Amino acid sequence: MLSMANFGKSIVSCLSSLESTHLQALKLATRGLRYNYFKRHCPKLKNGIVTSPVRRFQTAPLLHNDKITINIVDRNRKTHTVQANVDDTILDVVIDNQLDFESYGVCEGTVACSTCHVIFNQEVYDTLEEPLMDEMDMLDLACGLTETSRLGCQVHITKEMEGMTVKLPEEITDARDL
Amino acid sequence: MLTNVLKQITTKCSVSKLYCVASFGFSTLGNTQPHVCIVGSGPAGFGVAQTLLKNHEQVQVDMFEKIPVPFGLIRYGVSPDHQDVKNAINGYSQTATSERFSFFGNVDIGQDVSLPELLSAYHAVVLCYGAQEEATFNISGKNLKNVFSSKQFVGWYNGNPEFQNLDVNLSGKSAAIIGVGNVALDCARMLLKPTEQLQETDITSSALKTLQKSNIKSVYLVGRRGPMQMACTRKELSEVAGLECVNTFVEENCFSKSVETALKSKDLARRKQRRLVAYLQKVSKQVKDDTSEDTKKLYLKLLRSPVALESKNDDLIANVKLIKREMQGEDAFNPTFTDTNVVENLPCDIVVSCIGYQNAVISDDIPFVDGKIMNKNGKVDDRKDLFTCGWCSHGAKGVLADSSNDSLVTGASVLSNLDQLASDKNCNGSNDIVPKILQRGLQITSWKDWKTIDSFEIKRGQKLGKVREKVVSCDEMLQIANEGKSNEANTSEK
Repeated sequence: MLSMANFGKSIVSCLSSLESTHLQALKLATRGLRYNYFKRHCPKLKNGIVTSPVRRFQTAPLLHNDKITINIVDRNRKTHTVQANVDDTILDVVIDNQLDFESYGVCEGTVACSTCHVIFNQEVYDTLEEPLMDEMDMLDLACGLTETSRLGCQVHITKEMEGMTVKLPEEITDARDL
Repeated sequence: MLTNVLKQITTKCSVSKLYCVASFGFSTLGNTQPHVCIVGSGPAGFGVAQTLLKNHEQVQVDMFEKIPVPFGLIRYGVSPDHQDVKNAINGYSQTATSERFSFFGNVDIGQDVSLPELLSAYHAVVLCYGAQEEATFNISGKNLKNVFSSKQFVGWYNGNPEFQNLDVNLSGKSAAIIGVGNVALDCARMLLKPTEQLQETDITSSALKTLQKSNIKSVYLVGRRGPMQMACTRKELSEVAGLECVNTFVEENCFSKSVETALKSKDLARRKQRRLVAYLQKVSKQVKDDTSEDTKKLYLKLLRSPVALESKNDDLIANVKLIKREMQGEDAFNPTFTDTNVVENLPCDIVVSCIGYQNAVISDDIPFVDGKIMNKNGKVDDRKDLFTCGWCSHGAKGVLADSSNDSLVTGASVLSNLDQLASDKNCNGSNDIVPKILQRGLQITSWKDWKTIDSFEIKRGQKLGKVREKVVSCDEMLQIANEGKSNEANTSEK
């Protein structure tokens, strides 16, 4: 038992000492795994009752020490105030906090859809790095596109985002009407 | 003991406090469990299923699909080299594990079961069956050999059982594709992409062999309108134009003064189009390297109207006759187009028409106008128990995100009517309808049968170094499903 705990500790210290770029790569590589793991275990439906999702393994607290608080406003204008790990993407934050928005992140963060679309306020938007071509292509097709829209799977949390609010788009009318 | 029970109740209450507004906190007050039927198992169908199951504690969702296997266009429309889009099936498969979800494959609504029969067995029916018919292509010569619709051609390489016997001849040098939408670009890309890049995908092995022997070096995309009316996206165009072995050609005169002005606009709603045309302009100006034998060519022939398909001998396609068109007006987003009397011949060896799809009429009870089902927020006009979602309601446009968003709207409409519908009528869903289907001698595939076929395809693919090797005949699908059932029966007997 003790040796398992020590093994665990050495993994944690090893991971903590990784540079943030390597951490990013690790997170990216395991995102699909973590997303699928979450989806497989949530929600359990028994006798027509939704029970809590059970997550027995979480990479997030092992890899990150820095957390901030952000607000995510869902499609029904309800605000969820959640903890977010610095360097995680918005999609990671939604998954790790088990927010379970419907049809959010359908392609599992592979920039093949635009369902993880979020809207920033101008101040925060202006501090973000320019979106890459792939993201621009998918954003073009997003419903309710605005000047401060980004894909949630492509924007990483920074310390400076403490207390920020991001919104899921309200409009369901689609790009085909444009 | 009591505290445990209380804890459980409060936990369940807090968890069943749904993420939507309070008006979605549904549970049936009466005794009847609501039964909802979804026709179609693509993104729209599964999107609606997810919304219903998540927001109603008792609803039973039954999904009917025409062919034995699910997922609709994700399986048969999305191209083999777009596996990332197919990730969506992971979420749908998770939905299918719900105890309140059942899948009934190999049941053709309209043919095997009528819509009125469904409506009497279910409290609500949601039509999500897509747009299965081709837009009519009225052109002489459309029945010549080696002339295909996109439904046929895409179905052929994607393993759709209906199109496996297509005689696709790629021994010629040029292909003409009518249309400039994403489907047209998919077809162009399949013809131009080095086949090594397709080897590990779920393209059928027989289509891959045909492509490996292909002599096609030039692909022409024919569009009737101007650059700002191209229906494809920048991403799709770049996937072909960006291939190392492909040079892209566009006529300079396409980029008229009005187009240049339009490119400078700041309107967010036009951003998609501006980015597309700016990219097209960029690639057309690139210096062409055609020294290599492997170089292939992509030509965009805009402002051309196809008027006849002609052959030289043996009824084999040899030429597309085109009429040149002119674009007028200052606004390149809303110009007028006029035909000139200048004829142009486009010699080619294969034609694929990618001019769009439209709805099939599966029942006279559905109000169709201009190929769209009349509905408000997904609820079919003049009907209280019939709903619709996705391509079959809006017409055949839109990508995965559009169907997903649509399903939220339709799902909300169903939910807001469901409890009333459940208390108005007693019916038992699949318990009412399945015996009727079985009496007609039909075999239904369950979700478990799909998982058997799925495992079979993946195993077979693994042996060939592919993601999967699709089963391309419905009979074989049913046979594999039956073998799976009897293996399981034998194992449990032991």
